[in-house]
Amino acid sequence: MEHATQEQGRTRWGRLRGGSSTPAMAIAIPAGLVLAVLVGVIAAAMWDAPTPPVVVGIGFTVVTLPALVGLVWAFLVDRNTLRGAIDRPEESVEGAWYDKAAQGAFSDILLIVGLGTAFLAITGIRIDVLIALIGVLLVAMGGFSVRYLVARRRG
Amino acid sequence: MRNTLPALRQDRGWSQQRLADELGVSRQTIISIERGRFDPSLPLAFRIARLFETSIETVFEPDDAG
Repeated sequence: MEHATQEQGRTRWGRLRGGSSTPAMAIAIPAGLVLAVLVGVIAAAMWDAPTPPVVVGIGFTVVTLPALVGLVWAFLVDRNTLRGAIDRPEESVEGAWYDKAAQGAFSDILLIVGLGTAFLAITGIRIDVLIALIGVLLVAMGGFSVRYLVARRRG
Repeated sequence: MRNTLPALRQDRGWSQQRLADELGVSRQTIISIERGRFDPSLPLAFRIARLFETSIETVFEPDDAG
């Protein structure tokens, strides 16, 4: 009964932290849009390729918009105002799955980066820093996702 | 870790969702505990015992208990 009372007034996207009644998305969307436009402007100014700067700017704005809106929302939202949010996520099994997956992904990164560095040092092959960072990011995200899904499947 | 959580819950006629709401955790957490796949933290184990007005030892028993 207490839980049902708590659920009343909660919304899908929640409200701002600090007891505000303002929907979090009312701030997250315009703030995310401003940040995405900023990224687009910077990308257009610095892009060194035949593509017209306007196209580059619009492209970066569109691609980064959802992520930046989500990021701002995550910083601003009071999770206690989210519909269906549990009171103690840190004690739920999903938290244990997350910790286990993050621990495994960290081991994956150490192994892959260690072996990769040794390989490049021995062979003398040089790769672009951006490519290397994207590789590390993909290993981290892939390792985490697979391990989390396996943990969830095992229950 | 073995546990008597399903029996205690069913004695009260509670669903897994109802118990999860009472404890402030996800329903999947209750499912995993009942299957013995997830050992709850000590604070959560205490809350479970308190909720059913019993002791932790009554609810949980280590697998290697003689």
